Amino acid sequence: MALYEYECPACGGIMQFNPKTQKLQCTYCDTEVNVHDYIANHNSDDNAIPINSAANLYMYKCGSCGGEILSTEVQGSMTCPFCGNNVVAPEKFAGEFCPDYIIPFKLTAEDAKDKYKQYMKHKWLLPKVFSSQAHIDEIKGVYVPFWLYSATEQYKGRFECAKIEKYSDSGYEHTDTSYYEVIRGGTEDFSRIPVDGSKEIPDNISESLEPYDTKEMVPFKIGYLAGFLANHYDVDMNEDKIRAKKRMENTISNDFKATITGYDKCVILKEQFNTKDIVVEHALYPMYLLSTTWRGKRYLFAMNGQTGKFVGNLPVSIGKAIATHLVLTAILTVIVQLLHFLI
Amino acid sequence: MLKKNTKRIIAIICVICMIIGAIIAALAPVVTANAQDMIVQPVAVPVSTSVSIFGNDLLRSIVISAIIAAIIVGVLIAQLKTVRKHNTATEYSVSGIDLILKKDYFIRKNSEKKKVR
Repeated sequence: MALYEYECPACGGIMQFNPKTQKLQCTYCDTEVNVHDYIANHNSDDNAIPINSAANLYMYKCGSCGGEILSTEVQGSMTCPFCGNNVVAPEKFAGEFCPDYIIPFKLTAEDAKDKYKQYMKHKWLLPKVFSSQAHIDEIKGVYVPFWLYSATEQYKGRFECAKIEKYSDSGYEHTDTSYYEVIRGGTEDFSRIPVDGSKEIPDNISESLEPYDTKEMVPFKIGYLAGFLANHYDVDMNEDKIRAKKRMENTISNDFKATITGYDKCVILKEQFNTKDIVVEHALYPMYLLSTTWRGKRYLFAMNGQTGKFVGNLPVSIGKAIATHLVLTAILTVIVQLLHFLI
Repeated sequence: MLKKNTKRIIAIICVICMIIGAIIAALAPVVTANAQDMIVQPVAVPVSTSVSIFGNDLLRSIVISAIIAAIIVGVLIAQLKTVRKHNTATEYSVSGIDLILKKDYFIRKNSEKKKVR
């Protein structure tokens, strides 16, 4: 199938989605077009050519410059490395891979870089070299596929609880323990719990970026992908359902336990869960991914492309940590001794 | 849910309280003598006897300072790690729980007594 190419209708320049205006904008003449009104070009009718079946690599031909664009099996939105043309392989988002919704990017790559610099500030135990040198290898705006689960969770729990009463009289200390069997049951409705459908993004990174504001979610249109990378899912909805169910079960269990009050001790005897009325939707959520290397180790940082929430695990300088501990110990010892002398 | 700044302020207040508490603990006298066992002298004697835990005030100050310093370094390390798995889905609950079944049954009562010296 032909690649979709985003060329400016006025000057033929490169169109890309502008998060600030929420429209497609030409990078040369600043012409703006609504995503719903824009019709992408089809300059190339060539299909993808598989070049490495083991690595699942495919090659497309850019319709603008004839350059070769490499992509993986799951990657559907790319940029030509030769002419910078933004292209989308529509077959990657067709049929079962077609998302129901998309949350368009609200923040730009520059916002992501600023957030990264802000994140690095005031981190006392961060290795100096890590924060001072430009270790950002590549910042990528990526639409990540998510499965959204809505369901009704049923719960029934049986507990053994105790009330403890202590009192003293004529040389004895009494402890009276009253035991109760406590039963709680009911339901809780959940809406659109996101679980990422991409093997490339670690689950703890995608979960740390939550929440996304689903009020800004719109029906999927391929034009939103222009200028960003996008993959279709490679984790099946049934695999991700297990994770969503676990989160629902933990939540409902905590919520029902919170209704057990007035006891000094509470032990779970049995819990039963049942998930029903499951509705699964497929959406693309925006993420900026920053990859940096330090001492041969790769560090991945991510920013929520809608809310700007930034997460990432930074390395600790052991030397700085030990020195900080010793200095703090010395200062506090002096303070304590001075107060002891004064008081 | 508390705002991020509010959480930060609460965390700072907690750390300051811990530090003040530890300093007070370091300075407070430790009573080891039982009042009933004290021999009453015709001259005035202190009601309580101050004895430091390790027998050395400086050593005790160093140990407590080291513990507080370790807590502060722990907080600074935690600053660098922001990736967390979310094991719950509270923010995706539509309207909380619908409590249909609520029963509390009394089973039994145990009584214990202990002689107080």
